[in-house]
This record gives sequence, C-alpha cells and structure tokens, in this order.
Amino acid sequence: MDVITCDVVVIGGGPGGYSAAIRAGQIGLKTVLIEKDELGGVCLNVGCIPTKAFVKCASQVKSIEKLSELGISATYHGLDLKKFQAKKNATVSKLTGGVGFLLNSAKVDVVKGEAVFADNETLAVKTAQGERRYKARNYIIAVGTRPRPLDILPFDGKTVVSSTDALNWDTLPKRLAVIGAGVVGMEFASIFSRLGVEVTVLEVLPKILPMEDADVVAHLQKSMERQGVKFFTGAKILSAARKTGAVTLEIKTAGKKNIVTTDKVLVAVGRQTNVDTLNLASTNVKTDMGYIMVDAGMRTNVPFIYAVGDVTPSWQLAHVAYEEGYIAAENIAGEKKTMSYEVVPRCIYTTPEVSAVGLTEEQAKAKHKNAKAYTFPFSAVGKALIESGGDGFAKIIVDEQYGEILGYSMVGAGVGELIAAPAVAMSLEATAESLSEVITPHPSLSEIVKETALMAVGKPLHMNRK
Amino acid sequence: MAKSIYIPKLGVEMTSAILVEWVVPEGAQVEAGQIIANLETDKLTKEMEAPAAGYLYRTGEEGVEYPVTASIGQVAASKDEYDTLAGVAAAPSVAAPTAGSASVAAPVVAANGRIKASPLAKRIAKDNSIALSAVQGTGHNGAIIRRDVLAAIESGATAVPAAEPVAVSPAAFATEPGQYHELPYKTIKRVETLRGMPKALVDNMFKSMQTTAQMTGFSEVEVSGLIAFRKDMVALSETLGYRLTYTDILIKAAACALKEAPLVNTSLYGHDLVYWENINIGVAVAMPGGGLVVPVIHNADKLGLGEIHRRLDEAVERAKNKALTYEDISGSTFTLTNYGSFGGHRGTPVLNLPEVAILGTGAIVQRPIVKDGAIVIGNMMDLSFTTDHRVISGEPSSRFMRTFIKCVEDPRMLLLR
Repeated sequence: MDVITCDVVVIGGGPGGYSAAIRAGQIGLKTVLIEKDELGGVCLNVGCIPTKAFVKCASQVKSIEKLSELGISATYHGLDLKKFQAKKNATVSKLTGGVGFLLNSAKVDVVKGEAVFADNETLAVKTAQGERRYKARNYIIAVGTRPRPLDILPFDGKTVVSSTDALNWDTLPKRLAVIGAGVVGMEFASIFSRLGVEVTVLEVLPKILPMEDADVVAHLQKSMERQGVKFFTGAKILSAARKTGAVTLEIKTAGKKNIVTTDKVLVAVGRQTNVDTLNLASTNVKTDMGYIMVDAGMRTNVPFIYAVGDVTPSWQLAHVAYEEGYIAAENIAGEKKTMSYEVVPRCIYTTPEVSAVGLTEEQAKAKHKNAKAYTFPFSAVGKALIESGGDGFAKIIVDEQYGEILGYSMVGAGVGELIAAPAVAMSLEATAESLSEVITPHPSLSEIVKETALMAVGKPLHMNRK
Repeated sequence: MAKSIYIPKLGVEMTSAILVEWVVPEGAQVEAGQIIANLETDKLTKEMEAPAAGYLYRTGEEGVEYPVTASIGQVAASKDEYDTLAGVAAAPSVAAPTAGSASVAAPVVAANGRIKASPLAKRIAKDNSIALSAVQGTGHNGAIIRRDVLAAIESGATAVPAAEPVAVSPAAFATEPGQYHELPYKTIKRVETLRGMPKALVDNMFKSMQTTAQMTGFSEVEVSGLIAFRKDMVALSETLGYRLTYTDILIKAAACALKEAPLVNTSLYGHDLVYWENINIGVAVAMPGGGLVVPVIHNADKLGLGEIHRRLDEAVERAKNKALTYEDISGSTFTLTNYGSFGGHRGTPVLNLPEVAILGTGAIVQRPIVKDGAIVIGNMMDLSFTTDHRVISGEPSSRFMRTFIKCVEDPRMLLLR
C-alpha cells in the first residue's frame, strides 16, 4: 500500500480545514486536504450560505407587502421553492468550486476520501481508488460537526428533520415546530414564519438565545411574536406521538401542560462533533465530551497534531475557524501565533438581525465593576427609518475607568454588516473617546456606532441623554 | 547598506533624548565619527556622531523627543542608495534596534515623533503616570498595547520607585499648567516650552522642596589659613602641571567632614536610611550661557588634591564641549555649591535629591571680627548648610560643620586626617 509523506495533512475541507490548507500551501508546505463530501463543509453546503439564501428569499417575499407604502403596487403570487432551490444550489456550487480553485492555486493536493487514524503518525484514507496511508509531519483535524439528535424524537429526514434537511425542502409544511431556540433554531423559525409557515419554538431553557444581550434578545423575541411565531420557553417535552404527516408534542412549561400539533419538527438542539469518526483512540490526542482540547496555538497534547474549527470547544463560527486554520498552518511553519477570542463578532440572521462582539452587558457587569451600557435607537438614524422603519437599537458597553470598549450588541435590519466596525475598534484597542472622534458617513446605518460612542462619553448628538 | 542612526543609551537611567538640532544638512556627505546632531537629555547634552561614512538621510525632527534606540536617520553608503531612501520619504521611519544591540526594544516611533500605542494603552499610561517612552511594545510592529502598559504598572518599572517617598503624585506639575492666554493687563512676548535639562530642573527643584524637610543653618569661617595655604601650595602645584584652587580644598574638606559625620552621607528611601560606602562630592558649576551642571568627584576622600583638581577640570571641559558622560554627573552623595565664585554670600541651597545635605560657600570678604579680645580684619567665608531635617538634626550637623571649618581654617589638617 502507498504510504505518502508530506508536511501537513488537513482532515476536513470546511472553513477551518480549507483555510489551514490554503495558508499552509501559500507558505510552501507540502499539503494534502482530505474531504469525504463537498469542499466548503457544513458552512458552504448545508449551513451559513444556504441559510442566508433562504433569509434573502424570505426578505424578498416580505418586502412585497411593504411596496404599497412607497406607492408601488405589486401583488404576491406565490413561491416556487424548487426554483429557489436551484438558484440556491447554483450559488453553493459556485462557492465550493471557488474553494477548489483556491486550494489548487495554493498547490494543495485535494483527496476525496474518509480518514481514520491508525496511530499518532499514521492516517488511513479510504478513497474510491482504494486505501492509502499518510505519514505526515503534521496533522490538522478540522472535521466539524453534525446535528445532534433528540432521543425522544430521532431524525427521520421527513417529519423530524435537522437544519440540513430543512434547507433542501422544495415544499413548505403548513406548521413547523422548532425545538431549540439557539442561533440555528431562531434563524429557521424566522425564515419559515416569514415564508408563511405557522411556527412554534420550543426551548427547554428559561430564555431564548441565552448567550446574547438580554435587551437585544427581548426585542427580537417581541418582533418575532408580532410576526406570528409562538414561543414556549422553559418547556420540557413529555411525549411525542407521530402519526401520518403530523406530530403531536406534549409539553410542560411552568407547571402547565400544553399540546403542540405540527406537520414537521425541526430539531435544532445543538451540534455534535464528528471526532468519533476519526478513531482517535489509536492516538494520544485528548478529547473532552467529544471536543478536541487545544492550546492557544491550536496544538493538541500531541505536538504535531492540531485541531481547528468546530471540533475545538471555542465559538462554533466559520470566521473563528478561518483564523484558527491560519494560526495552525503558520505555527506548523515555525511561527508562534496564538488565538485570541476576546473580539469575536457573531451575527444572527433572523429578522430583525442581531449582531454582537465582545461581552454582553450582563457578562461585562459581572467581570468589570465599572462597566456601563449606553443604547442608541435606530429610530434616530435617518437611513434606518428609510430602510426599515427604524426598528431596533445598538448598545455599547464601556469600562468607565479607562474608556475601554468591552462589548457591542445590536438588533435591527442590516446589523450583521455593522458589527465589523466595533470589532475593528475593539481589536485595535480604541477607547470610547477615540471611537467617538471617528467620522462616520451620513446617511448610513453605520453612524449608529459613532452615536453610541458619543453617548458613552457624555456628548450625545441625535439623542437626549437621560 | 545604509547604517541607521540610533539614540544611544548614555546612562542607566536615560530613557529619551531631544534631537535639539541637526548640524549637518540633509543629504550631506559625512565622515564616520563626524558630529551630525546635538542631543539633550534631562541631565546632559551630547553630540551625535555619524556611525559610518556616507550620505546623511535625516528622518528625526528637530525639537522632538525620541526614546532610547529610536532611529533618527540613516547614513546611506552611496548616492544611489541615498536617492532611493529619499524617494521613499513618505513612509514613516520605524525604530529597529540592531541585532547586536543590548538595549531594550524601543516602542515604534513615527517620523513625526509619535510613539505608536493604542488609544487604550495611551489612556491607561496617562492615568497611571507611565511614560510610554519607557514601555516595551508587543503589539503589531512593536506598538504598545494595553497588556504592555498593564505589565509596566505591575512591575512598577516606569513609575516612581515604590521606596522613594513621594508627597505628591509624580504627574503633578511643578507649576500649574493653567491658562496664560488672554490674561488682563499683560500680553505674551514669547513662550518657551521647557524640555530636557531645563524641564528636569523645574521638576527636580519642585520635588526636592515638596518631599524633604529642608532647613539651612548659617555660619562663617575665617579663611586666612586657607588663603595662606593656597598661596603657599600654588607654586608647588604648578610644577605638577596645575594651579591649586580653593574649590579643590573645599571638596577635600567636605570629604573629611563627611567621614566624621557619616549620617550626612546618606539617602532616605521611604523609611530606609541608606548609608553610602562612597563619598562622592557633586560640585555645582555654572556653565557659560546659563545652565548648571554638577560634575561628581567620586571617592573624594581617597583622592589627593591634584587628582581632585584634575577630575573636576576635565569634567568642566567636557561640559563646555557638550561631551559630558552620565558617569560625570551621576552618583553624588553630597553637593557643594560655591556661589561665592560669582559674589554670593549666603543662601538657602536646595537639596540635590536623593542627598540629605548641601553646603553653599560664599565669597571671601574682609569683615571686622573679634580675635583675642581685639577687633581685627578677618577674611570671612559665609557657610550656608542645608540639611534634610527628617534625617539630620543638630548634633551631626554641627559635627560636620566643625570638621569642615577646622579643615578650611587650616588645610594642613587635610594631610593629617
């Protein structure tokens, strides 16, 4: 059997894997990337990208209703989801093809196959052409995650589905129950309710989106309720009965029992790693609850084995994986780079959108005794009034001692694009004062960043400070 | 290959220097060792030499303060290389200590003299009285970021040493920064923002007065014996190549007196009273054109008058030529200020921290005195002895003065002690 040697083998072609491989190739390391499915991983194929295509579709549908406000008469005739799927898939193909092109340009050898470890130094890969073995000087594990099933309602791909299945729907159910009010659950709840589906969200914790700012989340929930989404929080599922084409869930919330009848159930209770597919038991690599433990340089306890992306316990975000992939590749080449998670922006593509970077108000106040929050509404931002009626707000959290910006949270139309500015400011250690002196363009949504900074330094412009 | 010109670290305590002026024009051809600029620190001035022969490419700006190891220019090896350098003039110069240099990596300084530090780092430094010029940056391109300033605060390295008693915060101005524009009844002729040595004088004098319990005792000494001794010895000293001065004798007398009263040769740090092994006498010397330098005669108690004279003379020469070294002006444990040399009699000299005593000697004047019951003309030198009353009280102060006066009244004592 062939034993192939090289500098790096990257296992997994998602954001973490392909970024690591591209960087390693750029540096001049002999790199092999192994992917068992499609390049681009979950993100490109059944995650970030297709979801946002759906968000766009739902937004466009909804916008037709608002056209009459502008004096434009238009009638909504209906949605051809098959045609949408074709367009969505074309976009995905373009992107995965692009990743392939980038990998080739970086002289990375891309292999389609399934990899398992034989020992610390050896990887066995099953391809369509047979098995081969790799003895690489370094490994980067980037195998990502898959949807976690609920014991009480295992996936069947038709009635009880995961996000992967829902993204491929070419017809819509009348009613949908979404179990899990995390980012995935909330985005799907928002998309489908705006496409006309009757959506109910069930969450076992007392709050939806518990990791984000409480005010922001409260605003989001109210908006979605106004759009017709029903929420049950603190809800425990007592029983689930499946009949033809319908599911009946008996749930208990705050001591009361409720019955939720639905056509389909989307289970979005989290994702589990694919680490169990690697046969890591044949290596010394330490894992914990399915996650691979790494240091700040993305090294596992085995010095030449690295892990990046969703298999590590940090943020499950593609952009974090990009950065981790780069750091792993550069450290293999002899650098001493470390990952910092202090300034990680995250966006939730519900309508209204949510975005945040750094600490939430609650987290900041728990850690910093001088933390203070300042909020500015989009209703005072001209462009926001034009674009979306001025719904939502932005909140800056500052440590009053030195004016350090601890965090930033926003809710409203288009805030996903706006969080980059606070992220840059925080990365470059701007103070609230120095941020308040940045000139932002008018009219734009982005000026809200300057307005919050002005409030934080006591010089509000388009708002009276209470 | 162009050779960079770096601000040298001239002394252990030196952290920065002002590029006072370039003395060679931009693009000029220079020899290795040729003087190309004048620098000024808070303690001395120094002439900068070109590190190599070639064409001078200046990036440092006159009047700007740069941290130690910052680059203020380069010497291009050839005209072509100079043209290339000059062509990229738009990019700000970046401090880059040479691989072999043992100096601390300096913060990045842009061509306009600004130290690269994040807004947050600057704010933390300002609030905690940390000098950015002394902080090592670990951010991009050596920029100073939050963690660097926090580390500096932790180590206390760049703040006032914890042991030193500070009655006021180091950031306090010696005078009120205040507003002097648009004041009634008077208009501004000229404003000179003090930096370097004049600034150090402002801050040091203020600190001395604020943090010590200065008190001055006055006495006088009849110096006929001193005058006769010197007259006698000067011809002999000339055979050794110098002319003995009164100052040489006063220095030796002070050294003898300090041996008798070691409490006067100490420094107070917090509540730690440090007794110094060495007797290092600082001698205040006025420079032509204004300015004050205090060259130090180290271990004056172990030196003969000739050696004392030579060292003082050479240091003063160096001072006049802006070639003083940090060794010349550091380590004093006692200071002598002879304002008598420009006609002064009595004064209340200010302590030269961290010393606990300073002796001012006045001009020799003829005054009537009582000797053996009769009024005679005495040759009198007034003595003004300022001590730090936190440490020195009457007895040790008198003991010092008694010995000093005895040695000055009859300098032959210096040989016998």
